[in-house]
Amino acid sequence: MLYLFRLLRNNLFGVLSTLLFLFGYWQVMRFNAYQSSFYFNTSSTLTSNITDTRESINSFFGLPGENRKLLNQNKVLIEALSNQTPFSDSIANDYKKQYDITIAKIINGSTKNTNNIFTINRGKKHGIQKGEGVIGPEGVIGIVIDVNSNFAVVMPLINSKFTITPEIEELKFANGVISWDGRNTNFLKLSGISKFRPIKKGMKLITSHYSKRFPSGIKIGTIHSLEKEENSSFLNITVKTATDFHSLNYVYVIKNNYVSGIDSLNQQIMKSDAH
Amino acid sequence: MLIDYLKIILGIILAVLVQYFIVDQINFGPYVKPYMYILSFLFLNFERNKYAQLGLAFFAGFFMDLLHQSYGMHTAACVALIYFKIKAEGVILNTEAISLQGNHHLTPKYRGFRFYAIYFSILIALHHVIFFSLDYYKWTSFLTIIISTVLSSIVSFAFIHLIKTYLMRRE
Repeated sequence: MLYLFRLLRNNLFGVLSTLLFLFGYWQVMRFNAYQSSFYFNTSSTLTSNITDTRESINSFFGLPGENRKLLNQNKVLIEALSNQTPFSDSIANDYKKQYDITIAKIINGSTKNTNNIFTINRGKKHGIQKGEGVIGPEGVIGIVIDVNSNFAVVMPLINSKFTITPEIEELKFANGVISWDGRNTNFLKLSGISKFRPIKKGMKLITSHYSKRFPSGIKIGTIHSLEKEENSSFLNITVKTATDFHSLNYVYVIKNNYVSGIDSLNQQIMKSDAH
Repeated sequence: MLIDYLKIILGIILAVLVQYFIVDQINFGPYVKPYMYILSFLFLNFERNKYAQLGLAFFAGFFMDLLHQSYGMHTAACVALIYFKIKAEGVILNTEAISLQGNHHLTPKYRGFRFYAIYFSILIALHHVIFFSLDYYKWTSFLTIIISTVLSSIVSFAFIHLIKTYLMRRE
């Protein structure tokens, strides 16, 4: 025992360094699962003032770009209003009721890591719930993965854990999986598309009508390049993101009011199948 | 003594804030993510208590993690960096000779700029390789980790050397 104490005393610096290193490593393992609710809750109070300051500086310098985006968005909305579908009033009202939209501001986030996350200034208090879709002025941003009373964490498209099934607008065909390989934040990978499909460069990818989280038709990106592999029946497709994740400021959180109804119906069917 | 440590802590806070508000906002292109905040403890006097140096490096990493929400990545990398720096000072450097030259940390005067650049580049690369390994955390990203480490270390060293030469006069 005495020998052990002497050994510890003689190597105290090494032991202390190792312990501190292991503490850092433990933190990585404990909190780096992108959800990071504990760390997020405790650090958000401390860092919110600093991040708010940074955001206000960034917002000021980003105003011209933001104005351009808003103008474009207004243009699209005005176009949509002037080209309303000839639905009957009751169907149109039903459709309107399906989604509630909350405007939120990104107060913190990263675009440099493999598993990036964004923090928005809306939480449970504002009706935000886990699993809700998040879109921006240019297209899909991600989904809400954690929420506390005042803030929510969003897993964006540029997180290697995020996947989504897109619809190819020109072909009216929903298949494949979009994911991010952790390299360039402007490009995503689309896999699982058969090479016999008539896919072309420049085709638009949008959210499909099968999605519970997003309304159909929200832009994800455009096909930037595609390769045919000889030994595979699938295409290697690179997708240019519709959203510039480096200049995001305001986003829209989408609540689908039909989700609980759809989920309970699915559960009922699964239960009856099991019996 | 206490004021001296207070100054170092303020220097660390300033370096981390400069990293967060300015350096991190610059897009250096793919793979390049320089971290210059490590200069706040990289040039600590080698006569200074090693436990104090360890504590200061831990604080720098922890504060950086707090702002970046990187959960321990910078803490682990900074602790490893200061450990190897202190070990390297005992083995590679003749600290008495450097003291006689009137310096308290390695300068180009000791064995020329080449030795100085290699010494600090290796230490910076060590910090970066640990950070990127924890960030990517998968074997398939080995090549990306190496490329990111090499490119980022070069840019970090350039930043640190410029700041050290033109903005900082003492420890």
